[in-house]
Amino acid sequence: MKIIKPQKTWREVKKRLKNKNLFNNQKSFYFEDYLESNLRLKKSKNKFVSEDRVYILFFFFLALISFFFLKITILAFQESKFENLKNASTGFKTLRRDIVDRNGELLSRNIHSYHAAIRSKDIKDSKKFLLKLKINFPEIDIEEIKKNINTKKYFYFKKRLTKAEKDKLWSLGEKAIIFEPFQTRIYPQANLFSHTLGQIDSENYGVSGIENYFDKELKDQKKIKIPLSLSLDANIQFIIKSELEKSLQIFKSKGGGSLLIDSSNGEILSMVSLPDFDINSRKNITDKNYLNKITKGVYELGSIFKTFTIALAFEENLLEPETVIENIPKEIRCSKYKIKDIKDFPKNLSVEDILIRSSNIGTVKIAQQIGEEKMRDFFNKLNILNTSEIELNEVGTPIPFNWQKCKLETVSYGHGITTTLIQVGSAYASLINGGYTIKPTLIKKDKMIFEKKKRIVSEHTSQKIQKILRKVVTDENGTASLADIFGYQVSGKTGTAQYYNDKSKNINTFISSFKVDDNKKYVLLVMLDNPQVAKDLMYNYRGIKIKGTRNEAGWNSAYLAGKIIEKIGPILAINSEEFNNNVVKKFN
Amino acid sequence: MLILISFIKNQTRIIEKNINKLTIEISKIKKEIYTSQIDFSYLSSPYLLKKEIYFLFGEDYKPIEFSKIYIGLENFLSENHKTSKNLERSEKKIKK
Repeated sequence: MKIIKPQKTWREVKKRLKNKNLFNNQKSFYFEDYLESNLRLKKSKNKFVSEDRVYILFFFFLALISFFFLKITILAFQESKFENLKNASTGFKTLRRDIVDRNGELLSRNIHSYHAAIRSKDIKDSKKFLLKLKINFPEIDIEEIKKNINTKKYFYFKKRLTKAEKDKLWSLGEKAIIFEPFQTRIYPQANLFSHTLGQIDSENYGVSGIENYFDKELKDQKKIKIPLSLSLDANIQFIIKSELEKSLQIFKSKGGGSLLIDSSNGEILSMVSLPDFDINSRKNITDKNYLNKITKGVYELGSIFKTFTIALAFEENLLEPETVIENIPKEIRCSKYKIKDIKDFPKNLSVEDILIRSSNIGTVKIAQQIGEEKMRDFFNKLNILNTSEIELNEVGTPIPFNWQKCKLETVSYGHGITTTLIQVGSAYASLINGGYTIKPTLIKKDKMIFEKKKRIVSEHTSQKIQKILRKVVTDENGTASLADIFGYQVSGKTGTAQYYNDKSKNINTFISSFKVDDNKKYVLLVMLDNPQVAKDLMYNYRGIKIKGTRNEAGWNSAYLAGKIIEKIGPILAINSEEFNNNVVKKFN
Repeated sequence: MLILISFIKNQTRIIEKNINKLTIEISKIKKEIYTSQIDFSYLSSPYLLKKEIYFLFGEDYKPIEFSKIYIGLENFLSENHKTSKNLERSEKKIKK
């Protein structure tokens, strides 16, 4: 082995390096050994590189497979796209539940509608554009639109388009007309349930009636496909409304109301208040005559209250229907008030006769026997003086009063006391259904849910009062003969009263009950606001034809109730459980 | 495995597409039903029916008499029995 001398200077090393032959010509063992190891090294290096490549490829494929595997696993656990598409393809997702009547008749439903807006910057030729609009919509103020186009960028041309209007606008082919979709509520029965159903605003919030009271429930997306079933019956409602409208014309009355309640469970089958309005069109109504006369209107209802006074006397075992009240004066003075009857009655009258003839003084005498405290408690039990509980926010509160001198006397025959028709209707239903309290409701009830809980009067009292009320209609001295319709066992009490703040105007009411089968009794209340004598009307009064000369409730409200019962009676009878069980099921 | 999965996926997609098409068709029909129900409700509303009846027959709504409503089968049979007996009696009277 040759030993190379250590290089001393940098120059020498440089010189050696410059000389290429120096390395090539080197044939020493050392160099040969070096070259071999170099080659080996090179080879092993290459080997490592190819191994790395294999590893990279392996990891690449592993990553790819892992990725696919992961993707497949995720997809497997993910909700199918199809489900999402299914929801999307349905397109119209309603924001409010339907409202239906007790027979499933549609009363209210959400539909798609459009507002038409104009984006001014997209108008190419404004003259042409305005001309097109003028031709198609001559009723629209073009000058205003012109002004808007010049000043505004984006404005509404027409809100709540009908289908025809939308098609017309669409056919114009104008890019500047934008159709803004929104949901609106449609009421196929229009005026029929205007006071009950109410309306919604443009933001889909209920603003009145059922729409307002059940706003949350109607928007509940979990129940969106289940309609809200009301206890109301569209057919019955229509018949009652038609009869009431006729009566308003006959008696030149400015308004009226009617209420039909199932006395067994408080379901309201019909609630009519006139005048009414079309709930499909949005108008700002300020006239008080349009308020819901059944729930919101607070009235002094007169002689109807005699029923409650006499029922309490029976309940307290103070009197019996046959008990005679002797020496009834023609007139009673109570403080500054003079209390007298509408006509002269016999001096001695039985309790029954007092109610049949509607004697004010006789009732006062009975009330004096009952006493103020009991009377007050009874009215509280009947829920006549508090605010009514019903599924509407348009509810009136009776005018509060103090039980001062003479209040007991006047209240006994329904003067100096105000309440709503719904409260009187449900109180009356409680008296005639065997004495159980009922809560009036607009929601269809499952029969099994209803439980008879609280009593107002005993069964015995209920029967006694019903017998007398029947005589009010059938007895020759009774005040409601015109309501006596064959077969329905109509009973009731008339009430003629003056406005609480205007004694020249009358509120004539007739509250009645009628049977369609042995188990079903309905309470019908009708009210006419300031009716006039119907001189042209020919009454059939107990088989005799007579012309109208009088203006008490027996001559207008009772007449109207008779007409209503005659028409709705067969429908209710055919719908009754007994009829269905005995006739329909057997023949099927 | 990958080929199998991709094959299954493709087939599923085809089925999904078909289902989508059908779903869209169903939803269109549903929409039609939805609006038709409103039309039906309007056209069969008591107000319009009354108007139509009056227009076609010139008649107003007439209620059935209570005496013609039979609450039960027995009630119906007894009423008919009474009527036939009355008829028999009157026939006998005429013969006499």
